[in-house]
Amino acid sequence: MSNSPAVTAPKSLGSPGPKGRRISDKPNLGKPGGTNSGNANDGAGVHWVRSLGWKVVAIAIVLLIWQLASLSPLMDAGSLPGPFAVVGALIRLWGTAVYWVAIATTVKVWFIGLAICSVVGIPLGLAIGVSRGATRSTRWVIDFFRTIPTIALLPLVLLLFGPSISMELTLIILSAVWPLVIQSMYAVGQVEPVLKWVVKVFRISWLDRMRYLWAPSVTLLVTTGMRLAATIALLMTVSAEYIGGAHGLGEQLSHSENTFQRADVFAYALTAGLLGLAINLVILFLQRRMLWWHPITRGARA
Amino acid sequence: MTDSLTSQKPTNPPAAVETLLAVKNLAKNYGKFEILGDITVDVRAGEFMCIVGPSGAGKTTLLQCLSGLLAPTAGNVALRGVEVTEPPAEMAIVFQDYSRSLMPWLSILDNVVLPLRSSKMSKDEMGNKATAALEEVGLKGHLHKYPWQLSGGMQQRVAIARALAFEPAVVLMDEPFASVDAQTRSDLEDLTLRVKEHLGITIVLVTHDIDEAVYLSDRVLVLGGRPTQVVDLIETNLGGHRDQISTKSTPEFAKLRARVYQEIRSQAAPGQP
Ligand SMILES: Nc1ncnc2c1ncn2[C@@H]1O[C@H](COP(=O)(O)OP(=O)(O)OP(=O)(O)O)[C@@H](O)[C@H]1O
Ligand SMILES: [Mg+2]
Repeated sequence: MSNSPAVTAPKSLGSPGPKGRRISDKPNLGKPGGTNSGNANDGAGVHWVRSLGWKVVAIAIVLLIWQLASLSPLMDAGSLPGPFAVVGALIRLWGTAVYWVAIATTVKVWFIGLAICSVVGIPLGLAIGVSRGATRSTRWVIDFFRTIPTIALLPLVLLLFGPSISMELTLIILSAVWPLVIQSMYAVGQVEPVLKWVVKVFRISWLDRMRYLWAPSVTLLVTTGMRLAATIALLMTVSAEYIGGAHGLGEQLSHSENTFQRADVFAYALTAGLLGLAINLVILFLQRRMLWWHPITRGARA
Repeated sequence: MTDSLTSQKPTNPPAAVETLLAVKNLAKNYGKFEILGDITVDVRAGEFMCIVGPSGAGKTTLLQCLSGLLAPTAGNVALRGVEVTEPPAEMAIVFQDYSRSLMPWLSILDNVVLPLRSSKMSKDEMGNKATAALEEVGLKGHLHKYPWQLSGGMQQRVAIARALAFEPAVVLMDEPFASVDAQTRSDLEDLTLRVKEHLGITIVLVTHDIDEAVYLSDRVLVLGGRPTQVVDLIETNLGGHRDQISTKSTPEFAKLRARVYQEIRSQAAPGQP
């Protein structure tokens, strides 16, 4: 075991998170079974495969019901395209530029919207959460705004901005900022009180308190807020395109509908669903990477 | 240094004793509840003082007042004559709850380094100092592990190392060994005695365990009453070298133990509902 702690200590302190783990991974492990994080990953791996199996089964069942429904005599022939028709349409769309441009447009607007929500929502939520008075006094206001169905504001916003990115961003922000504000508010309460004493007693500087106590402590709930906001933002983006006529997946969906290309309608809807799923998985992955030290990520308590 | 087990009277000349921490007429209320009545006690430089008292007597409250985490309602605490209003640089604390007092996202070494970062030390010096402290508590081989990869006793040793690396004059400990098993507990007790001797620091330790209090202490502070006051301040005179078996089987130890036990019980009885 060769360690030059004099060098590694400040370095890993400078980068808590996955990097910190990587540094420790090198010298640490004469132990059977490797790091705990390694073990946790193995266990999670087996679990992951098994749960994936069940997910595939569930998807297969849904597809089967779908196929049966499309063949059912209760439906007018062709009104509900079956899964094969839709997959066929999807494969055909993959070969078109329109499809990829629509995805790129939607993702771009979604990303800008989510970024603005984060920049506004996270600091606002944290600031409100720090002050007990602010938490109490803003509660009604926040509950009021977040329960307004933003989609109902679409005609008004459309009137103001037209079928533009501004219209979309306005709707995204109005609907997706709230989960970020609320989760960030609660995140402040997640800081361990004993650790708050520790940083006081050991006279740890303001900057270090931010970096080594506050940032890691609020990560779980803030990233959870991100995940909620990301889903809502995507929903709003596609809706705004669909109803408001801005460019993107929703617009293509609406266009296919108007031209009676039913299989394409379903293919675009499926695409939006898969996009949402992918976004969720990516954020989950990032969340787990940032919270590698957290009991949730490690599996059982050590 | 003579181990005068036979002479029960304190032999040290009063003039030579330096007061490190002076608690003067300290009182603390929570709202209208008077918890600490009127506490006056001097902690000598270099001594090991244990505080015992019934549950809810306000031992934790007293420790928080000593450290400047909590402002007293009346009276004051002074460290080397300077009134304590915030945690002083010369003071460190070992909290009872080791699982919460360490940062799970930092390695053992980084947990110990963190408090040193506000000093003017170079990074190498910080690393060396932290490593030395972890070595002192027998954790040299675990520097790059994370708190959750260690046993409870080891985690508490990290907390002790963090306090030692801070180079305080006085370490406050609030039931530091309450949540570890009996064997680990006596190991940690002896470890604490050893590092205190080695580094010449002052320790004030709160405990529920009377044996532990007598075994560790130069003086035992017994609290009781309602609101809480000083019931007794007992000089143990058990000598400098203590051993889990031989020290605890001396008649002096038994006598001290019985005395503290009775004092606590007589205090606890009327107050308990
Ligand atoms: N923040 C607080 N607000 C109101 N009352 C409190 C607060 N903290 C402690 N108390 C009360 O003060 C009394 C003393 O509490 P403290 O924790 O200091 O006792 P203790 O001697 O450390 O007890 P234990 O031995 O059980 O740890 C208790 O009755 C407790 O209910
Ligand atoms: Mg207590």
